[in-house]
Amino acid sequence: MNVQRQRSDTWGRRAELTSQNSFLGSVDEAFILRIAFLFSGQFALYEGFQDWNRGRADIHPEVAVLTLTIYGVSLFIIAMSLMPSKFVLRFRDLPLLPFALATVTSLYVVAAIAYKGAYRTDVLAYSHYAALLFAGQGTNPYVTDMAKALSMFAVQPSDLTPLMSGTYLTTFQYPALHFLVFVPFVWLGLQDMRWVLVLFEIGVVLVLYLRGPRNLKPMLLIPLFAGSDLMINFTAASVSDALWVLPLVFTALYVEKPVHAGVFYGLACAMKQTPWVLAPFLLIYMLRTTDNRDLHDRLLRVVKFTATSVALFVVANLPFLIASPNAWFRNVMTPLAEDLVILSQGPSLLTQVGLLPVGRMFYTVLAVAVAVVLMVNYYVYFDHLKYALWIFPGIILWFSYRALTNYIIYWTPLILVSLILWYEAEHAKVAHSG
Amino acid sequence: MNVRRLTAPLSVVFLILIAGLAFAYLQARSEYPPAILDPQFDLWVEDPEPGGDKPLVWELEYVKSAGDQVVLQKTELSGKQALEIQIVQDGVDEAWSYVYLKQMIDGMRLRALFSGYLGVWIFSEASCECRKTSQSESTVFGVETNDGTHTLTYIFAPEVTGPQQFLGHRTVYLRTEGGQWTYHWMDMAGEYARAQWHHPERVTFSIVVGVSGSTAGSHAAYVHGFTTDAKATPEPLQHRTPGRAPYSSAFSEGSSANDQWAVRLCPQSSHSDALNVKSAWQVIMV
Repeated sequence: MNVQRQRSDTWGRRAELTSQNSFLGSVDEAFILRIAFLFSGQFALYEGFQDWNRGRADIHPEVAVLTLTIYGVSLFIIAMSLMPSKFVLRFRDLPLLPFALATVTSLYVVAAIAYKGAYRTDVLAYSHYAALLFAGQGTNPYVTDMAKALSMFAVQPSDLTPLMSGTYLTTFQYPALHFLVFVPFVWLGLQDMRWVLVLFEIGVVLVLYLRGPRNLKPMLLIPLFAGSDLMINFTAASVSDALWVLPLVFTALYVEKPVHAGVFYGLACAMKQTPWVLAPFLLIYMLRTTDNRDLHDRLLRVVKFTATSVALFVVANLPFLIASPNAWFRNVMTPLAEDLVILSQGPSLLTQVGLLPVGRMFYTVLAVAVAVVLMVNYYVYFDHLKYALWIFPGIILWFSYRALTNYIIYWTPLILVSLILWYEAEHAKVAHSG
Repeated sequence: MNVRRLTAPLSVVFLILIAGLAFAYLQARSEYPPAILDPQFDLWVEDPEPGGDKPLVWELEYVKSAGDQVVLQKTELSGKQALEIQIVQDGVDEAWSYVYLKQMIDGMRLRALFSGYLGVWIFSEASCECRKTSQSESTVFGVETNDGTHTLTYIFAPEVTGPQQFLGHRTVYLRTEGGQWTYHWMDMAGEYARAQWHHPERVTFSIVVGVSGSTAGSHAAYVHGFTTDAKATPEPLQHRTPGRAPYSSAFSEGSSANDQWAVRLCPQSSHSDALNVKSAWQVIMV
């Protein structure tokens, strides 16, 4: 009888504790949501003000409507952060609205008004031109001079890539998917390929949002919008990195499945060279993440991942590789081999401004040394560094002689995926031990 | 266990070692970016205003009468690719027509410009017998830097005089025979020092061609390209000619090294035509 009463008391206390925890959980959740509401409202206010400044509403009345809408939505969302918890919890997805509205409006104002018809990087001009040539006449862009694209898309001299000789790069320097991805949109008649970049960007946000833990969802997006550069300014300025980020996000999500991960990693590598830096770390991950299995199984995972990655990469590039292997290799290796001027937000800035008289090779040696150190340490301390691999390329590229912000900032969505997976793994561990 | 304990500290030691060794062995003379962008005039875009094309990187400005024409084109002349600057002067009035191709130079590019010699291959019109005495009065071809306070002008002319300076304007004449390719070195830093001017924070660098209104017809000047390679500097000669300011040096295609020294060592005495060129140039500056 006593035992029965004791059991009953214990269950009662547990239920009470669970209820308390649940209540505290929802209090925390509501608080996190309030912060997310406030942040997204403030972000949209900031962008609304920028658009008001640069949007020439006097001759573009739609900008006036959009600006008013942004301000209205921002105020509403900020006010929502001060509403009772049940409202905040019920409308938990609302912070997406100001983020999306501000992003699309700002991109529209910059791309279609401030820089209408003008790309602000030679990269996108060359890629769009290559897609036009390929879609029209099946021209191989690796053997074609791209200079005509500069006047076609009104690229300013300051947005070109200068060489040490004073001349400029006028070749297509990326793997084939970087222009093939635009070909369907050329056929559809799209005039401005920045909207394709926006589509990829939206894809990244949606995947992260849908895949994120429910209780942390709006909060999860805050690192993406901590400044305007990642989601707005760089894409509006025709920086094309969103193209490789989306397939790499899927690589990160499917990292435990070597074939799936290999497919997406191959796609990412066929878009641009930046994800190539990740390869050794992904191989170490494949090898070490299943330490409990025998070596044969682990090596098989590595082989599956490598084979599918290489296969996808080759499939995308094969026609051009066969047609003109020398031109393809020379162009795609341009970032490594060509005589580009030092341009950096990394340590090589010291040389760029004349404070440290060393050659570009110094920074290449430094970047390789950092890469080797990171690989060795990642392998040795894998148990501690398992989820850290997504920042390693950013660190390595920061030491190179062309350490540009987009080489670092675009790893943020990948780091977020890693954090989600880590969070889920920790939860699973707690649930398993409980 | 030892591996785990040693890897991190050894990594730090490895990085310090590599950085130290690389610094010791890979120290270099500062790698300046190019002072002149698109020095060979490779990039061209359509220019809707006068019609035709213009170099993308170089900013085009011109002053001309309604009937005059300005044409820029990439061409080949005597075996060299060149930028052709052509002015078709209608001769209706006395007004000069000018073409300026400009770019702004600052930061490390300016440092590159002032830490070496700027070389240029140019080709100016041959004097024809009919206007032999007045060719230099009727056309002007040169380069200049303008830092907002000071203007340094190099004039390519068949007859030259010593450098001339008046207030914030210094003019250096570079002897240039018409009808052939000539290579000139220009010592911007040296001229600034001789003019007792401080190094500027930025300059506008221009190629300038002008044609007087009294010279009807088509006039062209050609630039093959600029180099900023300090190695091209005739350094031994400077040691051999103490006390002589190396205003500039030049040689023509087919001339020997001695010829070029001769050109530099024998600056022409003052000449009325050259002075006329200068006064015409000052009109441009105004």
